[in-house]
Amino acid sequence: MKRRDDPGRYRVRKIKLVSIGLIIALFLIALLAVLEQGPPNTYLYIGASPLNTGRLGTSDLFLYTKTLYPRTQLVLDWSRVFVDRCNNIVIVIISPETPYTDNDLSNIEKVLRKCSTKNFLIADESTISNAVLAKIGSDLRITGEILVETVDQYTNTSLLNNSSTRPLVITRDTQNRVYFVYPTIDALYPIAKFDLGNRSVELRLDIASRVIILKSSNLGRSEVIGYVNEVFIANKTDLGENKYIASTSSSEMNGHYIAYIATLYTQTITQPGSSVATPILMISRDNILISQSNVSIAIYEDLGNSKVILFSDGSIFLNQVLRSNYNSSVLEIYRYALNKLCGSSIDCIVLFDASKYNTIDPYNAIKQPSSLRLIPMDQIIAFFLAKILHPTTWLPLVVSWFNELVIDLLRLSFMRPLIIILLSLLFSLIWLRREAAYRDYVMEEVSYRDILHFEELINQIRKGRYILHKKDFINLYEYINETLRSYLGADLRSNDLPRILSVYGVSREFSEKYQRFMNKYYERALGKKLIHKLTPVLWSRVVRRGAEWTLKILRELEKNLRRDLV
Amino acid sequence: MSLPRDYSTTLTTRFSYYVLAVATLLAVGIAESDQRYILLGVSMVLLGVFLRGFVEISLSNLSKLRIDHYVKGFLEGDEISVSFIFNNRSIIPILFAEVLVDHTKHLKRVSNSRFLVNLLPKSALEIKVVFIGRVGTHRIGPVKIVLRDPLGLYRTQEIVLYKEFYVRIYPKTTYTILRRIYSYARSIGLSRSREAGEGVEFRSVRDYRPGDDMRRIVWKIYARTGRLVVKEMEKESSLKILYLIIASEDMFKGVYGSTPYEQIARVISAVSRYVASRSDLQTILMLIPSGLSEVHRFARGHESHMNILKILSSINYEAIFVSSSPPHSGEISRETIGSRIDLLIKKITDLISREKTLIMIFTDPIASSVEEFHKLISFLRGGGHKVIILIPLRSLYDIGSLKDLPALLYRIKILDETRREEELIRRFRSMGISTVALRPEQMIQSIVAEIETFRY
Repeated sequence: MKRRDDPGRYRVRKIKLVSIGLIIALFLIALLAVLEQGPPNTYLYIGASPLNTGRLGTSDLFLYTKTLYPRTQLVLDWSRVFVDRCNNIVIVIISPETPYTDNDLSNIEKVLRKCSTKNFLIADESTISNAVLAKIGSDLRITGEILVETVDQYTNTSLLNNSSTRPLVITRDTQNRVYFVYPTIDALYPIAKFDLGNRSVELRLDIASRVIILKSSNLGRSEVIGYVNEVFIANKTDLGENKYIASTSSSEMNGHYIAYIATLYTQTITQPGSSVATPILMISRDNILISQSNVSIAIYEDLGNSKVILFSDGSIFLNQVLRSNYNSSVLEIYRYALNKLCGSSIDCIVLFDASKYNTIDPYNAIKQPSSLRLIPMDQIIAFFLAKILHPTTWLPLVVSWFNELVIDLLRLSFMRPLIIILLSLLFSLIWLRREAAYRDYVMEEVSYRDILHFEELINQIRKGRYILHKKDFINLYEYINETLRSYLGADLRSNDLPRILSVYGVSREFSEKYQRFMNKYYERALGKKLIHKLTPVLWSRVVRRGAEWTLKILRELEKNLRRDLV
Repeated sequence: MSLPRDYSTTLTTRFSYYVLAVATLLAVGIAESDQRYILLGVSMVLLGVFLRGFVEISLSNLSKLRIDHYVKGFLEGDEISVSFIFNNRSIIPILFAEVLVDHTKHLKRVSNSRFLVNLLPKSALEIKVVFIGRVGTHRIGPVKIVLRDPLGLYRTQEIVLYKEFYVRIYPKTTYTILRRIYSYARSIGLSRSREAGEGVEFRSVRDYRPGDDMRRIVWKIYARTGRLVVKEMEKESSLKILYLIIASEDMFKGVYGSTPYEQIARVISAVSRYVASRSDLQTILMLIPSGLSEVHRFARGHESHMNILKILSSINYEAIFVSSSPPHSGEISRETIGSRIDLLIKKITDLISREKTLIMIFTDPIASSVEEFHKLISFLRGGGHKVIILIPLRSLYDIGSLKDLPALLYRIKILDETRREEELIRRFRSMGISTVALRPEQMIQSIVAEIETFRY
């Protein structure tokens, strides 16, 4: 442990405004708050939602709209739309999947009330948008039927699947007529013509319905923008994804029939190697539902303060079309329609509806391979990462695991004290890391100490660590000699010394002994005789004795001299 | 008083043990799922926090503390009592505070200098530190404080509460010494000038001469005899004494109160009082390791005595021992002091006139070389002044720290050193310089004899 000193010297101290402990505590609180919210609601869109960046989404169309009109917004919930400074507004609806509720319609109405002109661009092959059209007072409606290509086009054998020179199956109808059914390589939908003012554009439709005008008396305020020449019109429920060409001849493709997978009909088709018989619909000249010429697939309607452009095919605006070679045609048609409604004003507000689409959980999407094909892989990865990283996924498991581990450990008898010790040490280390501890001490008092000339010698004498030599005896002799001479007038050599000393209280006998002792060793110390040099003497003892006796004499002298003087 | 901002509170090792105890309690509580331990642990944590707050509040309150001091005593050998009054003007108490009065280590303290104080709100407290006086100017302070909590978990740094100040202690002019001086002077019949001249002492009457002061006419005699006579006064002795102390740090070494310097100061104090009573001119000049002293012109009477006491008490032991600190301090001192001989000569030249002055030089053998002294003496004698060198035998000044047999053994051991010092004195004498060896017991007689001899 360190000792603190140097009081009064300035130190620069770093101050932490936020401690690590506080940061950790805040992090844990935030973690708990996130846990409380529950797992993330991750959804994937697989339909024509502008939030779907896959093939079947309309995200590209939305982004394109935003480049044309910067005030384009996505609407996820019609009750939370905020519109500011609205002169002209266009609501874009592309192939909605869920019906519009009365609440949705009233919210749409509320939004539109703030605007001077309210316009709609609807592209829908289903009847879902009809509720919106009805709400705004439009006479246009989508029928919901599906338009299919006429038979004559399918005499072209190039539409056959190259690998299928032999019919897929031979089937018979109720009248026992034989058909040779061949799979096709492409959708058999009609080509529509769009009249864009001074220009016409042709575009093959996808799954398209038709537009009708309810009241023929309102024909004057409508204008057909797009139509198909000759089509078959079938109910949607009758049709499926797979399409075939049926021929009555096995040796030639006369293409009189087109066949769709259907649910209601007695003819069936069985794929090679499969035992499942799938009903098919045979359509021929003699067996069509409806055949019509100049079927409207896009109509512009002017309702006064509202304008509507209705397309009966939303599929043409999907990402897969905008990412294909047909994108320029589609975009031209869309741009024409939008500009017609916005009046090409940059201030036009475009609300892109994204609220009426089905979502799919990523887990369920994985279970349906067909759905998986439609979702971009990066979206799936992102959603799964969000799921995995969210604390609700892993934190309860971790805590539970840790809890069980601790309980198991605590059950072991030897672990308990060990855990206690480790925990205590851990707490202590964490706590004490912040600041170092120092040994406490009392302030030292200043003590006086004599500063002496011969301090070392005095210390030696005090501790008894001195050696007395011959020289010391000589000094002793000379000192006492001088003292006796100056005070008594007699020295150690004087015969009168014992008598004089006896006057001052020193016994004569002692004085004589003392005198003899001192003189004897003095001569030995001086080494006047040879024998003195040869004979060893323990001078330390001699000096000590001499000093003690000298002291005794001096004490007596001091006592008696003082008596004389006082 | 405003405290510097960076005074901080530190943790003590007790705090580490405390934390370990708390951690153990918490760990036991968690492991045993016993709330009592956890509760106790948490309570101890809170207590620790509270105690920290206690110290911090006390620390912040220090700035409101008012401290005064006063000193009683000013003479050497007497008790010098330094009292500090702590006045807590706030409503916050300052408890468990350790207060230390720092001071020079050259002053002997006979009481505690460290106190544990509890200053209640709106109250005052006095602490007293007592020293045995010693000639010189001594540092008392600074006063430091350390704050702690009752459990000793936290401790502040040493905070200076009150700055140092200096206490001046004068040499004591004891009556014993004065009596000895007076009795000595009388015993050798040295007290009056016996010369006619301007003075206050009556000598005889004589006939009036033109030019005599009319106020001196004795009108009674004139009335009786009709003869104009005047009083004739005794000539005042115009003795001029300069006490010159040239000292290395050896002069300041020895047993407390009995160092050569202190003894010299004591004697000079008594002598100067005696000289002042006789209205002689005197002054003092000191050249010591810390430098040259203040210079006062020659003065008479009480003023001269006070000036001398002031100079004698101006020495600062800390400055002396710092300025000649490491190893062979004597040699450094010699270089320092010896090199200032020229400066000294200049100062003396400014001070003394051509009038004959008795210059008493108190010095020690290592303060300067013989040659340098010879240079100084030659200069002074050249001016017609009488110079005496008084050298304390330093080896004898340590003996007071021993008694009986050890004292005798010490005397034996340093006898050679004493002889060397005496030999040095003999050398000075052989150069015609009056030199006196000062033994602790013989100082006064030597000095007084020299003064009175000079007078006549």
